[in-house]
Amino acid sequence: MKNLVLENVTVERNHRIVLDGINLSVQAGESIGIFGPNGAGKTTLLNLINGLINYKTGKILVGDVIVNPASSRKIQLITGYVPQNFETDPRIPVLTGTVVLSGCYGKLGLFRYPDSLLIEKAKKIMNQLEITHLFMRPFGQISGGERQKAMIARALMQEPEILLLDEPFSSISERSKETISDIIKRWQEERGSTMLIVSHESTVIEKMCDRVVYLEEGQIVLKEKIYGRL
Amino acid sequence: MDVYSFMFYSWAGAILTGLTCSLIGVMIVTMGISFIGVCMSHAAFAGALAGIIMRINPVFSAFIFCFIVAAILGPVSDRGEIKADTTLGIIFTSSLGLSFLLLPMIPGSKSEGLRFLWGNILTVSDTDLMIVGIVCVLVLISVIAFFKEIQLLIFNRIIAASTGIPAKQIYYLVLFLCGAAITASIKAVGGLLVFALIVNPAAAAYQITYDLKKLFLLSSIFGIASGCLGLFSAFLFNIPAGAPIALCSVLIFITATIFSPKRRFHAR
Repeated sequence: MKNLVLENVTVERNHRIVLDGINLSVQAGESIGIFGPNGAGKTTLLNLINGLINYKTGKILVGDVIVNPASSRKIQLITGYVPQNFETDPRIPVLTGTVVLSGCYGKLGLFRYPDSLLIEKAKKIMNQLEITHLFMRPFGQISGGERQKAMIARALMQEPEILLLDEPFSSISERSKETISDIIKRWQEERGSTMLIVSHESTVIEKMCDRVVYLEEGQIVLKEKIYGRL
Repeated sequence: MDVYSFMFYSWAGAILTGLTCSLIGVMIVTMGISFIGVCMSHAAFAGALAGIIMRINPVFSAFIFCFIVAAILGPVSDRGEIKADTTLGIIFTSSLGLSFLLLPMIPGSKSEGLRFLWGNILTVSDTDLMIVGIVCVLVLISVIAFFKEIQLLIFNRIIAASTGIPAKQIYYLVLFLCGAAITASIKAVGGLLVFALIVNPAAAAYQITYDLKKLFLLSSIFGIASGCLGLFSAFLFNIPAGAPIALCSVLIFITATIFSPKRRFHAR
C-alpha cells in the first residue's frame, strides 16, 4: 500500500490560487478527513492527488511515483474516486451495473471486457450497499442517494490502494449512512488502503478517520488526530 | 458509366454514408458535442474549396482541415481556459468566413465548389466509395474495439479519466473519426446536409433505448434507411438527393419521438 506526500503544492486555476503551499503526509493505511468551507479547495485537493489536474509548484508523491501528467494514468489505476453528487442526463444510455463494473475498466485494459466473475463481484458489492436491484436500471433514472451508492460500489470494484471520497454521503439517508460508512471502513482496514474523505459531516469523519485536516482559502490551517485513534 | 454501375454506386454510397455518419452520430449526440459536427462540416467545405483552388484533391484537403479542427478542439476544450462552445463558435465562424473568402477565388464556374456544399450522391465515383468504405470500416472497428471506453466517456469524461482508461486519446479518436466521416461523406451529401445524417439517426435512436449497443444498431438502421429512402425519393420525384436524405432522417426522428417509450416514461 502507498504513502502519500504533498510538498509545498500550489495550484492555480483561471489565474487564481486555489491551493497554496499545501504540505501533507499520509501514511499507508491511514484515513484522513478533510473539512473546510465551500471554495476552500477540498475537491481540488482530491482531483490533484488523482492526477486529474496539474499543479503549478511543489511535488506530490504516491509511494515513490511523482504525480504528473506522464504518471497520471498509473496513479488513476490504483486510486478509487467517488466524486461529489453530479447531475446527469436522465436519458443517458448507461446502465447502473455498467457504471459499477467500469471501476475495473482501467485494470482490464483495452480490448478486454468484464467476465462473469467480475459481474458477480459487482453484484456482490452492490448487494452489500443494497442496490443490486438497480443493476439493469439506467443510471440517469436512479435517485441521488442511489447514484452515490453506485459510485461508491464503482470505487470499491476498482480495489484501489488509495480511496478518495468527495462528500460521499451527502444524498444518502441517515439509516444507510451508518451501514455504508461501516462497509467502507471495514473494507479499508481489511485491505490497508489509504483513504481521504471530504465531508461536512463531523460524525462520519470522526467514525471513519484517524486524522482531520482543515482547509481554508486554499491553505491547511489545522491538522489534528482524532482522540482514541492512532 | 452504364446505368447499372450508376445505380450501384448511388445505392452503395447511400448505405455506406448513412452507416458511417449514424455510427459517429451516436458518440457525438450522447457525448453532447453535436455542434462539433456542424463545425467540422463547415471546415471540410472550406478545406475542399482550398483544395480546388490549389489544384489538389479536395477530399484530401477537406480531411486536413477537419483534422486541424479536431486537433485544436480537443486540447483547447480540455484545458478549460475557454469553454468548448466558445471554441466551437470561433472555429465555426472562421470556417464560414474562410469559405466565403475562397469561393469567389475559384477560377471559372463555381459549380465545382458548390458541389461540396450541396453534395450529389448520384455522381459518386469508385474512389469516393472506396474512401467512405475505408472510413466506415475504421469507425466500425473503433466502436467494437473501444466500446467500453466509449461507454464510459459518454457517461462522464472526468470519471472516465479517473478510472485510468486512456480517456483523452479515445476522445481525440472520436473527434478524428468524426472529421474523417464528414470528409468521406461530403461529396455524396454535401457539407451542409451531412450534419443531418450525423445527428438525426442517432437522436432518433436515442428516443427509443437506454442500451448503448441497441443505440448503435438502431442508429445504423435509421442512417441507412434515411440514405435509401432519400435516394428513392430523389429517383421518384427527379430531384437532387441531398435534401430528401436529410428530410427522411428528420421524418424518422419525428416518428421515433412520437412513439418514444422514454418520452412516455418521463411524461408519467
